[in-house]
Amino acid sequence: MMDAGRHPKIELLVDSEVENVTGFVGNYRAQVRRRAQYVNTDECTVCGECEKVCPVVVPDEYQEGLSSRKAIYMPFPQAVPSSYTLSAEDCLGFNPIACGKCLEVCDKKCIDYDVQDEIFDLEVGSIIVATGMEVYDPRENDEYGYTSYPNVITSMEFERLICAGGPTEGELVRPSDRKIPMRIGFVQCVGSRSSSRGVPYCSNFCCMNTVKQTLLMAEHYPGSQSIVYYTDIRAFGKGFEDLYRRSREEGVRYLRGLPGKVQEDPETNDLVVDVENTVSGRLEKHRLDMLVLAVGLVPRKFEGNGSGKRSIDEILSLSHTSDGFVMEAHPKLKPVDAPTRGVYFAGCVEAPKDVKDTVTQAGAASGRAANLLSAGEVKIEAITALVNTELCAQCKICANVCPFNAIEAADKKADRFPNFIEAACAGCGTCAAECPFDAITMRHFDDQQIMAQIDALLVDKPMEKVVTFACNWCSYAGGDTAGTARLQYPPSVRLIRTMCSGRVDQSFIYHAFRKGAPMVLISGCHFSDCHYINAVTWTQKRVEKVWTKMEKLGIRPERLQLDWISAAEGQKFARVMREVDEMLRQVTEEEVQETIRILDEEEAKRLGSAA
Amino acid sequence: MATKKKTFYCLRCQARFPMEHDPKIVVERTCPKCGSNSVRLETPTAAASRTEQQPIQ
Repeated sequence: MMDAGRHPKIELLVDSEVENVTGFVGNYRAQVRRRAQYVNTDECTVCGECEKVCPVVVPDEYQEGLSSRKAIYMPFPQAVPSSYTLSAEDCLGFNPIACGKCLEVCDKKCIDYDVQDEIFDLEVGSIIVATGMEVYDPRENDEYGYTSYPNVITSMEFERLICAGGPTEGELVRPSDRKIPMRIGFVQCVGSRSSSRGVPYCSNFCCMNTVKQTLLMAEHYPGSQSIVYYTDIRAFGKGFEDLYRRSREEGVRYLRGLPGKVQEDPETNDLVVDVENTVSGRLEKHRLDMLVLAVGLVPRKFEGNGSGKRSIDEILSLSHTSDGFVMEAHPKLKPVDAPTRGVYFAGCVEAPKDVKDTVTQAGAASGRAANLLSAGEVKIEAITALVNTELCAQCKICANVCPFNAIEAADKKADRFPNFIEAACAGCGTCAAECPFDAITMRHFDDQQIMAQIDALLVDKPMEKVVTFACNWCSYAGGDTAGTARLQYPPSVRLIRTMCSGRVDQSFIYHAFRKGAPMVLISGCHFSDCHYINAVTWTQKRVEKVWTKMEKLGIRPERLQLDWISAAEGQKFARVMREVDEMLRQVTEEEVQETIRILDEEEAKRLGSAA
Repeated sequence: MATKKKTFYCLRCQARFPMEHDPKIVVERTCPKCGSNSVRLETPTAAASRTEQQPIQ
């Protein structure tokens, strides 16, 4: 961090927040708010006189609340810039100045209560999002008596207690009586890997963190007894198995099973833990001095400060996986890229990971960004949207639905048509499908091409065909997976590939029915897998509209099916195709002919009103 | 608007089931019986137009 602070090509903007980002890859403009520091960081010599006279004492967040700090304080010894900072929330008051003692004692006169937040713009070519994660709060479910017993602490609190820079300068003491705990239990997976409490995923780093902490205990306090309660130890990284073995050789006991009950002896504040040893099948009772909860990681809550501000995920149009972490453009081929071009991820914002993985990902992200910046130009897929200004009614719908903010909205008063930023367009086709005036064309996936495919596949024996629109990334790949796994599905299924299910225009569906299709299936990515941020949500909305219209027209909505199939779900692909094929057999020739008649009438009405 | 429980039905297996619904939030919906995503909010019109109705599960 010090190196980053001193690097001539790195400008650190501490205590700052990105409030808005406009532009596109290579040409972003970020609006940044630098919060008022109230202390001139260039002039402050860290003499500490201000801190001595400050009368406000609050819990120190850096020390997990195990010690206190003043309202004017150094966040932590290695903080960059090396300077005091004044917490406006904790200070007795600025206007009117209620205290002012720090100002009086500062020889360098580097405290200024009148400083305001500074807002400025930065022009940047790429953006790396590294906003980190949060630690699971065991208070929510009162895990293992955490809120009741002082000697039940979290792994983060243990880390501060045993750290030389911690509140006890590395002396591990029990919070209840400041005695050195010689019998310590560590409980794994607190808040992780549970569908009912905390989060369902593995937090990745907790096992090895506990192994490290047991080794620290063995090293600092010879004769201490550590016992680790676990469901399984995941020591999969380089050198991790060795570390785990060393821990066991040091006498640390690993017991498979999580405590069922934790009680405190009110006289001694010792903890009595009941646990089932799932290896021996026996119930065991342990008396411990301290219990450490290995808490997992949870995604950072992006909030716009409750003041109408947009959060960073909204600003950058970031989508999230079902576990709440941001979603990468491709899990294998673009693991550090956001779906929005020129935006990259580093660290736990993308998934829980340890320091090594974070550093690796940060290196990859900065490398990707450097590649982009040094290239000077961006090569993009030619599948982008084009607007026909003769048909465009400047309704702004396209700009509202674009997941990538690649369309600058039209302005009817100024007679300005939408501006398509091709460098930002990812080619999902949602704008083309949503445009009510057919004014937008997708290169390589235009209306005529798709209509021609529908015509071609229904030219012969249409009653035996299911017109299936499949998105390039997930459901079409799911078909491939089904094929490579030799899973059989009916030959009635005929696929039309689009880049995204968001491209499937209502007119394609009606056209297929008019051409005699008994069944139409639209398939795309699961919401959490959508490669075009939220384009798939527009697909669902559109299909719901079509169902309603079909119902009004007297066409069974069941004849239009919708399914989300991921690239790995070959079995689901085959199953869905079999089910839809089964439904196909229930559609009669008369029903199809009646549908054609109804839709032909509708089309005639539409053309009549247009004329 | 607060989330409310509404009745949805599956356009594949015709199952009817209650599900949280907020018109402002689009969520992926799956039929608990057959796993299909062809799940639709049951409106009075939709209910009337259907010939067979299964009990809510």
